[in-house]
Amino acid sequence: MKDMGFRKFKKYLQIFLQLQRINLMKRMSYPVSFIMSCSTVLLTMVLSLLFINVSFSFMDNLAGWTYYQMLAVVGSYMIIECIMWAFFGQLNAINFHIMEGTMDGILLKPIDDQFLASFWRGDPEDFMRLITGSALVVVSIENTIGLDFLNLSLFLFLIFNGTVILYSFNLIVRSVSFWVIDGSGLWLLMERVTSNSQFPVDIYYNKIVRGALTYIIPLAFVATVPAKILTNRDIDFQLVELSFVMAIFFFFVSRYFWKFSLKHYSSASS
Amino acid sequence: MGKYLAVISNSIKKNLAYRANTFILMISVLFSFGVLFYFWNSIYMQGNKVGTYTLSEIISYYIFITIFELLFTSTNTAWSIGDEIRNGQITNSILKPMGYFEYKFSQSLGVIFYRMMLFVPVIALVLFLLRNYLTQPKDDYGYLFFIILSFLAFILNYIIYYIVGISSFWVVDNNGFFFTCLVVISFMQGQWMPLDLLPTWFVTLGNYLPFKYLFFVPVGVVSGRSAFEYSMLIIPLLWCVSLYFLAKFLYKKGIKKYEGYGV
Repeated sequence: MKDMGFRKFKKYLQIFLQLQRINLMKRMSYPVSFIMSCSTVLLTMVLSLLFINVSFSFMDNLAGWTYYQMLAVVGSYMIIECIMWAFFGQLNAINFHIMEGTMDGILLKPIDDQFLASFWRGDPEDFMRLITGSALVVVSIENTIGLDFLNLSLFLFLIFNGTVILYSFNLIVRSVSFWVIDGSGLWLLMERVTSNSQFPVDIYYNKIVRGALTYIIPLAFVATVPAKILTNRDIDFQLVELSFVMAIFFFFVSRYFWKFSLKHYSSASS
Repeated sequence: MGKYLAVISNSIKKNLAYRANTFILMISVLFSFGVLFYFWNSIYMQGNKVGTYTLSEIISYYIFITIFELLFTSTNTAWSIGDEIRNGQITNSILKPMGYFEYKFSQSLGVIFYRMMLFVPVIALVLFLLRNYLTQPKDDYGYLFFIILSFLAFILNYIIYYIVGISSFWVVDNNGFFFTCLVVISFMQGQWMPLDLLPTWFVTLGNYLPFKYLFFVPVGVVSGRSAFEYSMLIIPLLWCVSLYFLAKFLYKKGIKKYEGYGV
């Protein structure tokens, strides 16, 4: 039994690596375009940073967050965005596949449908986000509490949780496309929700809104909580535990919702 | 003229085909306005201030920028032209008894009409709810000037993205270039932040380019940040004319190079 589980894991890992290889090869077949995309992702990051710098030239702190702490929030967001685009870029194309009828090709493969619908396509140019995000995190660490092994380990753990939460939330939203067929409008909703994660949820003065952004649309755990743990000596372990619980909870909800939504899929092809 | 009206009508019908998505879009738009208002309100309530912008000014700025983004952005023009060139579909379009520039413009107009039908009720509701936060134009005819500048901005927007699209005649995979243009234009038109908050050298550079007339200038007039000047009308008009001729020239050159790949 144990051996079978390991074999399955190995098989999925191999498929995952192959998909990454294919994605990179596809992009690299047009090297100029790929380099331009990489440069533009980098430019987007620079412009985001410019926005923060301009804003902080007029204020000392944002809801108690200093400039360097804020860099940790933005850096965390960039790292998670990198994972979302580079590995789960396919989520953005779910509604397109449903509309065009090409979803069948994904569902008919002898492999877990959610796995393939998530990893089928990725945008390797978004690895640039990892570089800029990590650089911001390093600058933030150096200018706040300095390098601490425990804080850094917890930060990485929280980034993992944040990714799972954002992935699950994204999958739930995209699954609505199975009912509405053209779910391109969901893109706008997702874009507005996720882009808001690059600001600490503490800026929202209303307790109800802050609560909603923590438990219903759990944006707080995407970038705010990892940055808080990374830049504060006093570690709030309750937040770490809560982040883990939320990640597991949202993952299973998204899994259930995906399976439920699939039952309502009517192919547009054949 | 009738044939172009048919293209506009088809474009509207195509977009209206999926009604549930229309409803989702409306919810998304309402949500994005809500987030915007709440975000800036929270920042200013804590005693912060961005540049010389008051809370009303910054909310007005971003609300009108979002309205422009929803109604007038023609990025789809670039992507659809790029796709048509890449997969050979442009052959169908150029066989039609109408100019390709005019054909795509009619499609784009159809999209604008569809968006207006969809978003204007939501926008009206938002403007009504936020009426106490919104600033007024400086001029008596501010709203009229705003409508004229918006129309001009839409045309300029279309021509720019048309040029971006037809660049696909020369580069097979144009996604990288499109993406670059999208980011640069969106920043330079003031979508990310008000341009007058940026360093002087950037503002000077922006004065020599057409992008600020797409969003920043019309929004400045309607939100009362700047008074209307005739140069706001003449300069984008000159840009429209010169870019129109550039677009025609590039299309002529490009179509000679086109090999009908994928047909």
